[in-house]
This record gives sequence, structure tokens and C-alpha cells, in this order.
Amino acid sequence: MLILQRKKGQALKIGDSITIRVTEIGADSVRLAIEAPREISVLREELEETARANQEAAREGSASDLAWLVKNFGK
Amino acid sequence: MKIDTKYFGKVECRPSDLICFEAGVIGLEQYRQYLPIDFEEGQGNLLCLQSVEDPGLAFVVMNPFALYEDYRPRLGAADSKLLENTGEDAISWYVICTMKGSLEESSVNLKAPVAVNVRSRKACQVILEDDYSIRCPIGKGRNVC
Repeated sequence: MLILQRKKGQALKIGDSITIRVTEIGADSVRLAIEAPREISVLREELEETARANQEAAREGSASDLAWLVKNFGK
Repeated sequence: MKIDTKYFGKVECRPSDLICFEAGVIGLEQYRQYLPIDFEEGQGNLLCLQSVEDPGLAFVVMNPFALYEDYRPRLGAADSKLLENTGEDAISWYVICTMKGSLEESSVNLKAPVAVNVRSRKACQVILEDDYSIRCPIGKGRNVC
């Protein structure tokens, strides 16, 4: 693992197309500005699980799932 | 206009029926326009959010307060602006349901609910700071028999 030290206003580059700049340093958090091509997904780590849950929720459900859901919760 | 849907075949709707996720839904950011479709027997507690752009993409969302009376989602300033929010009474909250064939295995995402401004018809998926579960089994809802 590579560990770098950066000051406020300084940046680092990943490949040719991604730039991450430190814009603010607080007591227990930093604010980062990320420049990346649209096709690159930038996600807070804790959102990965939500992204996965959303993809399953949107694609996987079937009409029979719906039937019992409506039966149980539609009252 | 007519759109193809995942669960309801072809559905006739007007452009004003659609809701717009300006920033998409997390992990599916490229899809912005959804049609809310009521389930006939859903009594407002169940709703389908059908993607206009992709017929195979549809969410089933639930009224979280019918499941959990104590649930208290809050809208941050940035999301509020995105929704063009003029008052809390314009906001409807939903949680996305992941159906897995049985009540025990199916879950709702309480950590990241969907907020819809029923006036501006803007919507977004909100990430709550509170310690809610991303995969909360729906069978655990206290109001469920």
C-alpha cells in the first residue's frame, strides 16, 4: 500500500485522468475534490453496500415476489 | 406516452407523472426518470418506481412508517436543495425493498431511503447519518403480522 502525505490545496494524480485534491482539513475529517471521467464510479466506501442492494433490488425481483409482498403489506 | 414496464406490461403515462432523480440512484446513476406506479391493493404502502429508460429496471419501495413507526429520516441541506424543497410536508419517504423470494430473506434499506418532493417531482436517495441497517429484514417490521 502506498501512503502519501498531502497538505491543504495539494493533490495527487491516479493515472492520467484522476486528480484528488485536499480542499479542507478538519479535526476529524478532510474534504476532497475529485476530478475523474464520468465513467469512473466514485463512491464513499460505506455506499458500496447500498449500491449493491440497489442493483439487486432493481434487477432481481420477480412477479411472484411481488405477489406475496402485496399480500403481506398491501392491507 | 407509453412505456414498457417490468411488472405491468405497457403503461400509459404523462410526462408530468414522472419523477426525476437528478443524481440517479446510488450505483445506478445513469437512470434519472422513473414512473411511480401504485399497486392496486397497495393502499399507498407499496409503490413501484419504474425506470423510463430501461424496462427491466424497477424498484419496489415501501412506506417505512407502516413498517417502523419510530423511523425518523431527515433531509440534509444539500439534498433539500436538490429536491427544491419548500417544506417537509412536500416530502414523501420510501425505502427500497430487495425481494428474495421470502419474507425472511427480503430486506429494506433504512440507511438510504428515497425522498420524493411531490410538488417539484424531484427525488433523491438520502444517506442518513443515523445507525440504520442497509439490509433490514422486512419480517422484523413491528407492524407486520
